[in-house]
Amino acid sequence: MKKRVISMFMAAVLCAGLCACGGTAQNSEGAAESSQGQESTDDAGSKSSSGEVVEVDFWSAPNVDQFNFWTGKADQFNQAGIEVDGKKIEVKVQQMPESPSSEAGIQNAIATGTVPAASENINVGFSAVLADSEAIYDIQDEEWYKEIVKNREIESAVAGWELGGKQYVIPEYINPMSLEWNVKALEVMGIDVPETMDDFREMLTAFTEHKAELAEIGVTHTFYRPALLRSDQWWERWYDFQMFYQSLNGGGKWVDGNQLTFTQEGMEKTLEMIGMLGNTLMVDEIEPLWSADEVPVVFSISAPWEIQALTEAGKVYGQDYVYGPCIVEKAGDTPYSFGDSKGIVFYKHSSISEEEHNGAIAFVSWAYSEENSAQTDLEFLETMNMLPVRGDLQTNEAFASKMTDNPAYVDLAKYIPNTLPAMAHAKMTEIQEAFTEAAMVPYIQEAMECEPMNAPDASAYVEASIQAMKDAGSLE
Amino acid sequence: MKKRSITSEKRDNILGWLFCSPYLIFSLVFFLIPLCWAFWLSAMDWNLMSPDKSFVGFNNFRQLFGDAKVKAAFVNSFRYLVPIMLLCFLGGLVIALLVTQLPEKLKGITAVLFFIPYLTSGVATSVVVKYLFTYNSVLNVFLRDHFDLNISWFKNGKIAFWVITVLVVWKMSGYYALFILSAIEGVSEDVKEAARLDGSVGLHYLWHVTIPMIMPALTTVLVLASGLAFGIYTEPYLLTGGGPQLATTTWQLEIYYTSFTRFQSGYGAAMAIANAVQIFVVLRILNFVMDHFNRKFGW
Repeated sequence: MKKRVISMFMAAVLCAGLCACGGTAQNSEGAAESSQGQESTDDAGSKSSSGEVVEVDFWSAPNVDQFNFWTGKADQFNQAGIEVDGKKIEVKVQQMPESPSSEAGIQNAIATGTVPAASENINVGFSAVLADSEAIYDIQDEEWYKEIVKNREIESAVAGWELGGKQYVIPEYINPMSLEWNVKALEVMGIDVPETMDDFREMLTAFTEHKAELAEIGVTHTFYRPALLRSDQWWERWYDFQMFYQSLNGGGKWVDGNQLTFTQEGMEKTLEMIGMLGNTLMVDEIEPLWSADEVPVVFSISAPWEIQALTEAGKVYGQDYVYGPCIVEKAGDTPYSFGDSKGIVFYKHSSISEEEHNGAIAFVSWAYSEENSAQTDLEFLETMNMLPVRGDLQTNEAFASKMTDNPAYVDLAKYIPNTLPAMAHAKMTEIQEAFTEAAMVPYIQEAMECEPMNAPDASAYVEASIQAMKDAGSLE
Repeated sequence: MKKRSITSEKRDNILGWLFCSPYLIFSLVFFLIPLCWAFWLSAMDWNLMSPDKSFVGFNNFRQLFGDAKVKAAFVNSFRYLVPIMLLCFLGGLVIALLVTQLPEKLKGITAVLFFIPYLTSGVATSVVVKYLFTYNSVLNVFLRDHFDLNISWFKNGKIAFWVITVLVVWKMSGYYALFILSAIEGVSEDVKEAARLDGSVGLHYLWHVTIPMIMPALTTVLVLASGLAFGIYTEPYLLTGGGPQLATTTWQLEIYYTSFTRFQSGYGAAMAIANAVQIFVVLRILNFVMDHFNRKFGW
């Protein structure tokens, strides 16, 4: 008998332990979400409506600064007591999962019905995947969306976010990518910031001629770009190949609809421009680079998100580093470049009730309302040191002090009108991976065997990559 | 009397099932259901997000045969298997033999010191190693200044492969040493004394007494180390991304990229199943070989 009691007790403890490992379908942050189907949606709706309060989940990017920024906004919104259909909206902010990646976290949340009503941190490529999967709302014809576009004067910016004639994303911030030059190296070489191909060749010649003097200040290589040989880092092609292609070839889209629109000639020209750097390319990791006492390279792709850190490290814009436009073919050409931009989307899922969806819209509309949008964007700029997507960034009084705070921001803001987004294609990853594997990596490996100014012929690599990209993305 | 005995047997059976039920439920929930779901997913063209799921039958499995990345993962898993299995085995054995020679007071603490790398996060160790091999690291500056050696550690496939292998072996050897150490410590005094009386010392003692006596532990270490070789993920993910040109890629890495970067979850599930089949076959072969040795030594 005693044995039986003990065994029953142990079994009960084990079962209780196992039960404790489980959880409800509800999000741990307490949002009124449910996991399954229409029935659950109704259930979620009734739960969230209790006490005339609708709880809305909003996911911030997986970093503390953006989480704090959006938590602050949510607190202000919640205190304002804004109601939708007579029910108070309570926004709860949570960081989106970072591991293994934020995209995978969202994928998992959609699959398991724990996706929030809205989130930030979505780039145009992933928005294409989400739109293709019918996981986000088309907001093009919504009045509140048009109001946000008007308040932030981003009519031209949103054109780059169009997917199949529809809009799914509210652009939040943009990093206009450019080149970051080592001012001390330029002084030793006796040249200004290169802007055209002639300037670029002059820079390479000067580098060869002044190699010994450059070595004295620790400069050993021209262009720092470890990602050139990383075939897994397909996204880095936005920051090198796409950007250089567009500046050298007068803009253009990589893929338009289902058509590969980068030309063979343009791609060869772009690869050969990088190939000209030959064995002066630096493809090994350097930590830290621009904040080090001696910067061992002449230039790299800019990293606008590092401005604050560089200032704190005692680096002065204009004296230690300076941003320059992407290299164009000849003077007068527009230096198009890549705009590293992310925005906000509204998720469409059976676990998100109509009330929650409307609550999320109310929150984002409030943050970017005529009254609040400038303050929201200014706070974002101050918190994140990344430029918000606004047409009036250089003219609006609200941003004047921050923009003049560091001339780096002023120079960066100048490049915004010439930025172009990533390709809007659901198979963007496969296409850029195929290009990297078939052209970028093998070509750079060959180029690095050559002396500067002796770029190898890129035609065979480009031809192979065109076929590989068409196969990978089912492109025409 | 007979009836009572049958009732008691039934009760014992129920109790047995009751005690086993937590593990059975755990296995059902966390292994069997996901396994069935993975088989179902492997027959679909689906990204886990879209309402459109297409049934593609065995197409995903057929596609595996023409995929260069799968081929690289398959080949690399054997490239990793051989050195990791041998070096973990030898490293564990050497550590265990050294620790057994220490005074009793120091044995415990020394064993724990060797065990620490296993407890350290793979992310942390990978970040440290990455920093160690950056262009401007102390090591590289030293090599350039004194030997005129400029090594691109992670841009050369062979070097990158060995950096990852050594990192994994360093991390795991101490852990496996504990298995071997415990087996060595378990060899009975009678056997040791008999060996000593027969004049067996040094390498002779190791080869003819210690190793035969710890064969089951060595089998466990070899099986665990081979399983480890098939599960490498963190180190190549953080150090090389599987490159250069797939030289360091692994199954886990390719499954991750396929499922969560390219969002081809169905194809990713097919890759995972193919990986599981490869692991199963290799482990069966390894078990067969080790059983042969175990039988030879009377186990």
